[in-house]
Amino acid sequence: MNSRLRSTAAVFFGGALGSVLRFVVGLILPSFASLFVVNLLGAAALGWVQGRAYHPGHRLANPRAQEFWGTGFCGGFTTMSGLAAFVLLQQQAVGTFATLLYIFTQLVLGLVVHRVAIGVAARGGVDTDD
Amino acid sequence: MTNPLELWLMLVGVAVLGGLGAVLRFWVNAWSGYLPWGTLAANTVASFVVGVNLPLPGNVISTWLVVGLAGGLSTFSTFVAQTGWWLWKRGRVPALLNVLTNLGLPILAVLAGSSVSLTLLN
Repeated sequence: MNSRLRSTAAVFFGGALGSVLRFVVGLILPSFASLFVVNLLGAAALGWVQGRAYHPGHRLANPRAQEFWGTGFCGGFTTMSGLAAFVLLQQQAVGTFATLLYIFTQLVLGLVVHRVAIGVAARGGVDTDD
Repeated sequence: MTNPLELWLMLVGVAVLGGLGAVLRFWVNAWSGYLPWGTLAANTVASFVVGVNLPLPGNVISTWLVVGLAGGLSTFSTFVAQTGWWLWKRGRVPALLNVLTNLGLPILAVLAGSSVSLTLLN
């Protein structure tokens, strides 16, 4: 199996797993909470996966693992389309200010948790200029 | 209340189409320039798909398309990672533009999709 096919397979199965987990979370929690949970957990998880790439011997550092867990799983677990639709519907229900606050909070927290996760996961690893 | 068979059908469909959406996103992800165009395109197209399904009654197929395909195709985590990287490497203006486009265009795409759907239904 060539490299491109292996990468595609890794992303496919990671994406499948992430999407199913997101679906399950959506069955358990109301929309406003499930979006927060999946997007913030997913941002943190992606930061962790990317941070482990700084440890070349770690099992998450190899390209297939990065593709499965990073591009596949985290990408599938989080959603921007769900956020866009939710924001549009919520704006009608709760108004513009509350909606903007929701978006802003999720975005800022997402950036923070992602950055913190990378920092923690990369600690002690190889310093690369990326 | 969803019956067990319907739930299993949804799960399988979400898995397959979610995986497919992720692969499509992976293929366009390399498209990048002043902004990460690939991620922006994936998020926008996925949001259009969601918009088309919004006016339609919820069923197994719509779950496959919205939760599976569109959910797998779009990504918040990569958007956040790219925004952070852009902020660090290229500055505030490109990072802010990335935020505005990745929030604004998907919202517009949902509106466009639902308009198309409503027009076709009428």
